[in-house]
Amino acid sequence: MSAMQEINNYMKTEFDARSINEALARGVAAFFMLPLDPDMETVADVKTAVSEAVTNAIIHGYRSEGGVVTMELTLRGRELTVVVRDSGVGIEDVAKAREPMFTTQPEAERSGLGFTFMETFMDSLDVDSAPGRGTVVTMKKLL
Amino acid sequence: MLKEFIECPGALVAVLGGEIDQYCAAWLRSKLDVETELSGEKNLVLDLSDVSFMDSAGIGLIIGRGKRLASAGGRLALAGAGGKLKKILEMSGVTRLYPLYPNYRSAVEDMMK
Repeated sequence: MSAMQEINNYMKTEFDARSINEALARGVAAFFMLPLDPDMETVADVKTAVSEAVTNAIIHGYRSEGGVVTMELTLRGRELTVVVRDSGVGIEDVAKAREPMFTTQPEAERSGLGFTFMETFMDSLDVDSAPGRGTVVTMKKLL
Repeated sequence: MLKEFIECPGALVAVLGGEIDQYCAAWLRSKLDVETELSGEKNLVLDLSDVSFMDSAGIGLIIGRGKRLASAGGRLALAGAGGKLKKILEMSGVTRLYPLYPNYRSAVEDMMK
């Protein structure tokens, strides 16, 4: 394949909202990026962000009671878009939830850094959520 | 993943490895707490040199252990983290709370002073 050839690709996967699938989700994202041969740092950044988004869906969206998490990955040239979607309880105050160290579950030793990590390691983060409507997290990164 | 515990004079060392996320955090938390209590040591060193991935669940685990040890008059130290992991620890402010040493031996030595 020519190094100049532009890669456009898309995939969608659904999995049970169980913590064991966090590793699966970040592994899938890492393999999806492989044709672009990103550096290790970039792969680690995306893996961390995916892990945070999927963990949030499982433990906050579905309150660890199960459900289905959808992850969509899109490559347009060198831009990766990751969409993680749940149909869980939703977030009442998205701005508050995005504040560093904010957590609704301090007793469970949550660090409250999930959204901070997503923001830091990706180029952009959009969170669309409302109570009872689930949550859609969209992240983009130039590889 | 927990690889092994090393009992040193002045501190218990827990050698961790692999990927630390929400999936293993609860199990790891209880294993660390039980083993620390059984050892009778007040201080704990987490050797992170073989940890290949950690997300915010791992940060929560570290802060939780640090608070727990402090409430019993003990201290937590970190060792061996480099590259991306070191960056995550620094970014989250964890290294301001718990010192990071190049290896577990230097952490234990410092704790004995």
